[in-house]
Amino acid sequence: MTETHFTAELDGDELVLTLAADAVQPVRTAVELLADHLEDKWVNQWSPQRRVVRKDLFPPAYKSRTAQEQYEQRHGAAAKADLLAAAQRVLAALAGSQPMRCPADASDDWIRVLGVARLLYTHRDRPLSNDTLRAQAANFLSAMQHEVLIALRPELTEVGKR
Amino acid sequence: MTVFRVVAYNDLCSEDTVVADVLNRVCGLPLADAVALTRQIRIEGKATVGLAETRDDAEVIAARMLGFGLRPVIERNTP
Repeated sequence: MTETHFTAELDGDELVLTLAADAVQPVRTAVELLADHLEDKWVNQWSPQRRVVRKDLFPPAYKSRTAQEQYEQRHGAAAKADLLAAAQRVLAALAGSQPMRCPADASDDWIRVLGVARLLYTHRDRPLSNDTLRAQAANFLSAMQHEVLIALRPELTEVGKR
Repeated sequence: MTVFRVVAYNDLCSEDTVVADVLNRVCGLPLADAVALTRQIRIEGKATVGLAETRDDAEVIAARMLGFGLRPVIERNTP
């Protein structure tokens, strides 16, 4: 997939998102997978792979294990529920017709969900590549996130991509 | 007195545009500062992006940053 599979434009107070027909299902799969993680639907909660994914999705906010556990008790459930609600709204939009339209002030749903979902396919500490299907999926989700953001805030264009 | 600081760490897969946007809107930094700190994060690996008087304030900032896919760490603001 390339950036031509997705466009984002601002139309008044609405964000207009156009996703190519063959890109809808891969994006939906990524967001569904994210929702599954947020709902703890994985069969083996303690599998090494799940622990790695969880660390990529939600890296510790404290270096101290005790402080991190307390942080998770205070914020973990609410943060997951909030992101899950955003993922479900994105899934609802993906199930509708193209182009998708959403109020500009609700566009954080897309920016957040795409930003976290890409981490299902890549690792934070690994340089970007396009060598595998997983890397390509991560890059496409990042590109979508970038397009949404630039549509909303063209002044950030000059900040550019890495 | 600011007791806690929120430090944003570099990860190799985040778009600079997104980092700058989050620092601007979530951390409340002026856009020019957000862009400068985004570059600092990329070059130096991390940057302090928020100061808070309470642990709870720092955690609210960090939780919101995590929700955008960034990597914040809360540290005590030792001189």
